[in-house]
Amino acid sequence: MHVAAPAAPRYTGLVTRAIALAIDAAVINLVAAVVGIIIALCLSVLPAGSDTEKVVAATSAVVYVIWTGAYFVAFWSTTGQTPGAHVMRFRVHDASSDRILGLRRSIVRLAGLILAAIPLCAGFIPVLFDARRRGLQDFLARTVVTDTDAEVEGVPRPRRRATA
Amino acid sequence: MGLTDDTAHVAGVLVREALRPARAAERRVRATGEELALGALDAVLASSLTAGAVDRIVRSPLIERAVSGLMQGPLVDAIAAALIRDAVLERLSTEIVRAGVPQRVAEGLVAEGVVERSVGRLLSGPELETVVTRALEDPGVERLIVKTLDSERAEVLVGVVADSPGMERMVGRVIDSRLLDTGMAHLLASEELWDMVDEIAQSPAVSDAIAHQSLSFADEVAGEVRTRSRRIDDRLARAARKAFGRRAEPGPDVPGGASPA
Repeated sequence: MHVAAPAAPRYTGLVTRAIALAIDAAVINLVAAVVGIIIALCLSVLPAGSDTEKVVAATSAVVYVIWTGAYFVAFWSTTGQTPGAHVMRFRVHDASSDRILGLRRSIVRLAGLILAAIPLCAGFIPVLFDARRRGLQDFLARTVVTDTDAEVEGVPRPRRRATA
Repeated sequence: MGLTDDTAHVAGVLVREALRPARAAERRVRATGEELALGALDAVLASSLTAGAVDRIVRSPLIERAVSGLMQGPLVDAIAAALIRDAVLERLSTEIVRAGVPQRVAEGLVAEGVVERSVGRLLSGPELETVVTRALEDPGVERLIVKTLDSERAEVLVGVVADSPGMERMVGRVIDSRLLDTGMAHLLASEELWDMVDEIAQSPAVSDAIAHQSLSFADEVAGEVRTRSRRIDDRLARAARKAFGRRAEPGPDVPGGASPA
């Protein structure tokens, strides 16, 4: 009996991933802006010195960085998709299987993302040349990014997590 | 034999000639008698005595009984049967119509204002309302209306009316008229309208429809962005590989390629 071979995954390219990142950045900054406005309004009616403002500003910066990192790590390690990736219909998973990343590998991938962005985003250039369209963060975390458009509706997503 | 015939002829001629004066005298006497009889009749009819006598006879119960007996008797039935058998009424009506009597009567009624007064009386009286009410309550009228509306002829008629230039002009005049503006102003000023609009706007069906429409539109936009971004991805990858002299990656755009990336 002839058994049809599973459909080959379609790896997501640089432009699609950039659009998804832009959507994620919009979500992150929108939430941060709303929270920042609320905090600023509260502080405007409270007696606070210049030192307090500095502390609040430094704390806000730290919270913003944590919020940004937590955003990506949480989504990669739970659904494999950030909201931006969901809109653009792709997800991040283990390079050798279909498993969603664990927490540690998600953190490694986030670090790789930051490293790739530092040298004028040169770390993303391998996406253009690699056969599986991987960037620096994918090489470091051993992940790939594939489209979900071809997924059959009703098939459950993989729930087992890959170990780091 | 010939002698006998001639003799008889001569005798006949002689007799006619002898009787001619007698016949003339007879005609004169008859004409005089007729004139006298007619004159006497005129005198009788013109006399007050005759008028009084006729009045008494007409007012007398004898005439009433006589007429009543006549009406109840077989004479009326016989007359009716004869009228029907000989189609007297049909012939009479045909002659009346042919002579144009109905037209003259109708023109006379219109000229005298009888029709106008009758229509005014009908419209102002309660009879018309009663008739209309009964007609509307009658199931036969409903069936008639439904049958009329279902007929092909009605559809054709409506199509002809709708396509006619006259209807177009009429609708145009209605739209251009002050009546429509006034009506719209009244409608917009009415609180009931805005209550109704609020009711509709707050209904769950409308909210669901708007939300569904918005989501559909967002989905459509996102789908288009996804399609275009993937197309650009493929072009970029091919261009980069070509620029650096690397082998093109197999993909859906490459014939025979199993893997897209």
